[in-house]
Amino acid sequence: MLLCMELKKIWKPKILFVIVLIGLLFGYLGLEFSLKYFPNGHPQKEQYQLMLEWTEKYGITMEEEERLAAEEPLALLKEQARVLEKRDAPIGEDDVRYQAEALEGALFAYDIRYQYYYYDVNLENCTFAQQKRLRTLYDEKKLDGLLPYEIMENAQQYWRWGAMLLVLNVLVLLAPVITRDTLTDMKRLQYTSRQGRNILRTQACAMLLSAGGIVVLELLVLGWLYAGLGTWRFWKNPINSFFYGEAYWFDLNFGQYLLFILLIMVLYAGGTAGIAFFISCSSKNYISLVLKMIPIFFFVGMLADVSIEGLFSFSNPLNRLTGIAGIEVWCGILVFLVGMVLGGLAYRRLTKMRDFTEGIF
Amino acid sequence: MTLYIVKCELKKIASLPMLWIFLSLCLILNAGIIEGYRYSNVDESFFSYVKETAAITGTELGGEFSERLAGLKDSEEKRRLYEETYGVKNIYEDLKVVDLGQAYISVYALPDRWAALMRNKYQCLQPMVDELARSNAGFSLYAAGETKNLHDLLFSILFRTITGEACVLAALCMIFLYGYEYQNKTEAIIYTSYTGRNIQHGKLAAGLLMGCFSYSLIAGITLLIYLGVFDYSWIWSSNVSGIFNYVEEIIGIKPFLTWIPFTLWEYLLVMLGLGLMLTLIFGLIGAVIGRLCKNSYIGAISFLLLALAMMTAPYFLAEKDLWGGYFVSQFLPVCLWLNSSVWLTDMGIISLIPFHETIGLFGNVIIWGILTAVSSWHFSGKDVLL
Amino acid sequence: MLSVEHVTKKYGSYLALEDITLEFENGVYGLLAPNGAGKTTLLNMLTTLLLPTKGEILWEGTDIGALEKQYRNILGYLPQHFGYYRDNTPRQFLRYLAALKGMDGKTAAPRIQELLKLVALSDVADKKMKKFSGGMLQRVGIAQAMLNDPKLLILDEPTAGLDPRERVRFRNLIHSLSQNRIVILSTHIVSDIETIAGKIILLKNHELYCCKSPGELCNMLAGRVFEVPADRKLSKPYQLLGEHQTEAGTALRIVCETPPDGFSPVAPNLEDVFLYVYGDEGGE
Repeated sequence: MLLCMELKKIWKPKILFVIVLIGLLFGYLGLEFSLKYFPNGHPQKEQYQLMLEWTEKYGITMEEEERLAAEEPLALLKEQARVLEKRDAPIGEDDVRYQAEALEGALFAYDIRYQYYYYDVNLENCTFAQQKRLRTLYDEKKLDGLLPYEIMENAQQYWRWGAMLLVLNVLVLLAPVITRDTLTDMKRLQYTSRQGRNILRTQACAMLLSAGGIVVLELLVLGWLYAGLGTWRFWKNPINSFFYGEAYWFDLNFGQYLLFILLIMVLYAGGTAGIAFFISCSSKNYISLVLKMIPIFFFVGMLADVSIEGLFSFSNPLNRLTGIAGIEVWCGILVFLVGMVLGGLAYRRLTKMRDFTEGIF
Repeated sequence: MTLYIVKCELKKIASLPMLWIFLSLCLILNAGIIEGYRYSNVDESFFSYVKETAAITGTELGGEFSERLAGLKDSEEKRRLYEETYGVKNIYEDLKVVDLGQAYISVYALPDRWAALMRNKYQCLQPMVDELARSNAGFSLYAAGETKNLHDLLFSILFRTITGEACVLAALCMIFLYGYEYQNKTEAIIYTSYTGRNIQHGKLAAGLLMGCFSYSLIAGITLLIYLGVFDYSWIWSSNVSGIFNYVEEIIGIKPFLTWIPFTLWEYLLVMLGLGLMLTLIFGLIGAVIGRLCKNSYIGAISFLLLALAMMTAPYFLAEKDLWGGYFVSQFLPVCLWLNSSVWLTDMGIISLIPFHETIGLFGNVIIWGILTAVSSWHFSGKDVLL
Repeated sequence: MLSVEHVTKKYGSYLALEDITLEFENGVYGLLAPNGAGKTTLLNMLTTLLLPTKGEILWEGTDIGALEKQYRNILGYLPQHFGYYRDNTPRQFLRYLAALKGMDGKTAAPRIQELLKLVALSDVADKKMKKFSGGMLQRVGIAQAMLNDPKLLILDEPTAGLDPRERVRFRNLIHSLSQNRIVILSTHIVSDIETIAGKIILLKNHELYCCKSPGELCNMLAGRVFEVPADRKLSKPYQLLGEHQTEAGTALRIVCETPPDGFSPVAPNLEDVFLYVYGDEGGE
């Protein structure tokens, strides 16, 4: 009952309206491009279409025999393209020249997939672990996957913005909870009631549940929008694809990869909720609170952003810094734990404090 | 309104511990940016070499420069500098900036009405380009091949960060001050005093002073750090429109074309002055929001929403081909801030008039000043519900 | 002289006060009414926090809205919920308010010292107010209201939260301050104003009920207030004012138009009048 009331205090119509507005504006700035211009440009559109066809025809990987069959249309396409070039015809939207370019590029990428220079990664600059991983990919022939270049970049770009938006929403929704009670002198009534300082536990639970709620809501909305792109058709395709010059530490498929992105978002959201509880307990006025929210948003938001950028690949900034495979998830777990520890610390200090008018510091 | 009241209002903000922590965090961030950029983007050994060499070769490119350079001891840096500076031509001599305007018109498919204005802008710029050609501004050494990196670090990244930090602080300090009496339940005794509701003038003055102070502190210390890392003592008189400084855009690479010739020192000073003006504008925005929202949290969120809306406006309007709205939206304070790296230049597709940012800043001061006055006047005749 | 001329205040469709007409001269006025009657609304209008929907409030014949600063210069106000800056000492807080009241440092310092002595806070003048008791904070509130030696002193529920000793001290203080100024004291603690108020203003149903001296008010009930044992059955209609314990048991204090058999009227007091005016109808 009390938990419901605390939840009601958090989920006020006005603040929900604000969150929707933030979502719309932030979304327009960061998310709209990924949704509207996917695949972006030529021959990326054609290559995406090609991968889709090949997946339907050959499954999630392409074998050598299948590659031969895939090459069959190339000669005709090239001929048609030559004719158009000779005629100096203007390039149309579904121009066969793009199709020829796309098919040729894809076949070339397939052919050179096991050659060292294919990767942007300069072997001399690789760590021992990275070299070992590359060798594994080569030796175990794990680069036959069919996954277009665009999908990974688009997914990362989209969900990076989504992660920052989620961190912002969690902060905006949860940060004022305890501060509001402090300013309206509700603490006096709360602490002297039968519940006493246990109200903080209820409030902390309400905040965690609310964080969960906002995560679910946002992931549902963003996921529904993202699903409209149709990339779920590549759900089972391995991320270690010949078509994407990026080396990944793990053998995941695209669906699993997305789930890890969501896991990271959930971890950051949870951590932010704990941090929000901490700063809410330690702020005696709203502007102090906002001045704490700003660097937290930038720091946690930035961490979430760099975690998802090139997630699990050699080029991920956190991985480049530390060389640790899967550091992105560990970072998320760390933020989550820091949030929980800070939240726990604030809870403990407030419940143990004799003079309730003093802050937690 | 006594100075004492303004002093007391300043004390209210200054007694916020989080303000000083935030200022410190801003300075740490700025130092981190300088260090990070220095580590990853700037060839410091080359920059030092150019500095040492300039004492011998001078800072104006040309035959004499190359000759003197050729006579120096061979090194990798010398080879690079020689390669970059040998045979440079006066880039402004045959430059017809109307072509730039036409390029923007083509790429963005500007309707005739706006295309005419764009052409007109670049026609107005041509005399300046001719002047740059005459004065051999293009032959300014600046920092040779490291010019772009350093200019971008100082004016694109750092300057924008400094002004952004100061603007946010100015707005939040103002929102804090205006909500202070509501929060402390002192509205009744304050507004019924002799000064009464006129205390908001003191709050406005204090908030603006705090904004100025924040900007000065952040800019001052950040610049000190920057100049401690990169010795600029020898390049202050370089022309910012030199050959090594350029702008990369959708139409390609174009020179850094300012409306009047600037040395680096002059450009920095003017930019700092304009940045201060922008900070004051955000202070006024905070005053309007603070007057309308008693609750500081709602005020802060409103500020966030307003900033996001201002950021979104140009993209939205351009997408809908509402070019009139697009060009007007570029005068919004947040848009001015976002485009601060190209202040005092032609500004490409962003503007249709010379000195867009200067006119925009003055205009915003007037508009937000009027809005502040109106909200203040409205408050004077409004019930104070306790 | 302060005069309220046919003042009405509405919040949207809600009528807070209707057609109030009053005149104030030097002396103490008690504003007595239950919660929600419009006391605070009236005081907020007198202190310029609210604007009347209709009518006007005049100081020396001029509308207070037109006078603005000049009016506030003669005003001292202690609100019902007195807000303060927790990290300030009384001296700092009063200095700040003195500046707001247009007093320069040289004038303010001795005045603050004098007032702190008057309200018996000299010992704690430089201690932070977050450590003060409710009574001490109220005294700071009274001191700030008196900073500019106001000609019009308005105190809204000033004794709420004070102990009996503090309340007596407060009454004496107000009485001493009332010689050359208008003091309007809003309260529903009758004993606060019984002995010091020259006139009592009663508001009922958002209108002015009356503005009379305590004696005149008590005379309204002269000969109609009785004390009867609680177990006594009364045949005539009456209005119950209250119960209290006597040595003989519980006694009822009632207002009755015709005396109950065998009982003589007792002297009515202001509380009787308050309860009679604002109380429910009695039974048989």
